[in-house]
Amino acid sequence: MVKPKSVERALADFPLAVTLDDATTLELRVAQKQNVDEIVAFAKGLSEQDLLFLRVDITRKKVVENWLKNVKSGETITLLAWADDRVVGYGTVDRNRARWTRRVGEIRMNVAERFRGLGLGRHLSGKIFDIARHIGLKKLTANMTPDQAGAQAAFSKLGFRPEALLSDYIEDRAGGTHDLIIMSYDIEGLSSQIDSPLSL
Amino acid sequence: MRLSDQAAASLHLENAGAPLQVSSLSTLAGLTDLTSVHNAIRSRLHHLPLYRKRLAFVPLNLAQPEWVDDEGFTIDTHVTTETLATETEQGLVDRAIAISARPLDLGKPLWRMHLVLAPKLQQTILIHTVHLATLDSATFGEDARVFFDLQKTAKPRVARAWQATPAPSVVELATRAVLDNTKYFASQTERLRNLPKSGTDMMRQATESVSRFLTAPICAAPWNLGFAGGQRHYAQSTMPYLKIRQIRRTLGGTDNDVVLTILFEAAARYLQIKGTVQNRLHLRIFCPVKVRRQDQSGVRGNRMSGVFPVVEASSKSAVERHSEVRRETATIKQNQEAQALQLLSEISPPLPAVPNGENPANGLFKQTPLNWLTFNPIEFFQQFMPGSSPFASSAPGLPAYLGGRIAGFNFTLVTAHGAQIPLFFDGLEVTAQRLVPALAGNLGFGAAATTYARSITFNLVADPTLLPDLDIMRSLIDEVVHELSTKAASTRN
Repeated sequence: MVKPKSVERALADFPLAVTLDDATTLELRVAQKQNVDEIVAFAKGLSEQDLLFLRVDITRKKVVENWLKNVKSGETITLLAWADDRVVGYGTVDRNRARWTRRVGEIRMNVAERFRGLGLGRHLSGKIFDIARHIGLKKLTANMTPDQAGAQAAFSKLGFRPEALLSDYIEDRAGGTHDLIIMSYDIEGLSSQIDSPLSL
Repeated sequence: MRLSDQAAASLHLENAGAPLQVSSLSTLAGLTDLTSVHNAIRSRLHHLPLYRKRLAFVPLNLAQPEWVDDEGFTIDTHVTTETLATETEQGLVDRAIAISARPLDLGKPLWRMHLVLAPKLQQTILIHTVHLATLDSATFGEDARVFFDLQKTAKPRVARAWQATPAPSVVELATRAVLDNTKYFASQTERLRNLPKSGTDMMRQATESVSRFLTAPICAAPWNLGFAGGQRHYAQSTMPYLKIRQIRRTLGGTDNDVVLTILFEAAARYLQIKGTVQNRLHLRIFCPVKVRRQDQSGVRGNRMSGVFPVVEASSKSAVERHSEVRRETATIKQNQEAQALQLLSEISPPLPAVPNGENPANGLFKQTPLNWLTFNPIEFFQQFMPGSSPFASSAPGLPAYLGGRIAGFNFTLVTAHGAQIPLFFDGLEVTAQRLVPALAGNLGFGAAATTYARSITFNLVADPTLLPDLDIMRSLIDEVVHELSTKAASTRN
């Protein structure tokens, strides 16, 4: 599938340098198919607790290759945060392939432990949010467990609100079950914020 | 951390009878006890650093006050309880509204939680009040959310140890103020020098937006004909949120457009009932909004701004009003008015420092050059529009502003989109949430549209001396919603 112009326009700002709260500068780049090894290396650096809740096992090369195939086709848009030649976080928006939910996109994020609490999640979520709006998605969702308070706070600041709580919906790598919260943002819904950022 | 100019504005703009504070009222299904609540609150306070900080005023008003640790902080002062013998929910809500109107003590952290237990109803109402000065870059809902759980049996949290940093001395406060001022002016100069073309364009837009206040006076509503005092009446209209979404799906626009339509048209019909002069005049609402900075700068990446939609004051059909509102909000978005106003505030000269002693609890009434919320429309017209004679037939007391015009805006509309699933507080389900917006200056009426658990509530607050019949406004809201829903249903069919 050829990427539509709306996608190209949404990605025109990247690569983009961002400065974290501790003055570290990172670069956000659009993921490419040749980034498989760096993503796998990032995933293998995550703690066991983080790995429990990955939607798919991105410590496996094959899984990451499939992910990046979707990136190439435009079904998925992924931003990678780079510290020199290392991936230290990602933000991604998946467009739902099912025709009746084609207006909905799902946002996912992950940040290496060393870079948490420094605003990288805020940068990634903000940029992915802008991209999702630019490509015409009308409703955005983010899935997390009730314990992931940091993720809930980050998405709350973008206007996401808890929309559903599904009991025993997910199973971690150890076989334990957990509840799932779906937070959502409706572009046309009630909101107290202006979507387009002030850009100076 | 120094109080921002935006936060300082809320201290400048309030007065003794009308502190700029906002309260949420959460109805809990059951009774709770204070010890348990103290533990629950204490275990989450580290998420909200300002909840343990007070304002330290700078000598000689060299700069805005600083937020410093409150060495005398104790949760007992901020979280209190009482028992009420009421047998009706209305009685419980009335009591909560009265408590929400009590000014916070500006010498302490600017928040308060008070629980009213009603054993006969087996309900508790939690009144959570914060001063707008603490809401620099977040909405109230975002901050308050930390105290609520998504599950009845949430994982217990452990309070983090906290030790107050000793308060700075007077000399330290003054020295830091001088250094901060120097840095501020240097950075502003640099910023203005490097302002791109888009920035100057936005400044022009911002100036044009603000100038609408000077060039397009609005209709003087009865609730604008005096200064808000300390009394509050509250009314609400609650309905399924689906109702608003169905109107939006059929008639177009956004949920915000539908909410604005309902409030604008209800206000216009209220004016018609009251016989207020409306021809060729307009109504204007202030809607606080958040604007994100592209560079994500700022404590939380958000900045508060506002939009000021304006429509004709004469009553019309709800569907026509909806079309008018959609045109107006499209213009506001196209002009990026909220972003432009934010930019204007960022490059404007700093506000005068809030001097010590300006505590509403002390009964002082403030009037500053920038106090435009409480600005006096009589003086404005006399100074800037001589000969327009809007006060020609002034009666004793407040003049009728006859010509019926004032500047500024008629009321504030706060929107707060809440969780769409039930929340829990200390293990008790929250069955209803209400929001009591602030009234100040000549704004004797305010509204908040809040959603929670798939319902939407129009929260209406008024100073009864300026708007004694709030129930009429509520019934007009229901009337407009009914008209829109009927039209939406017939269009779908």
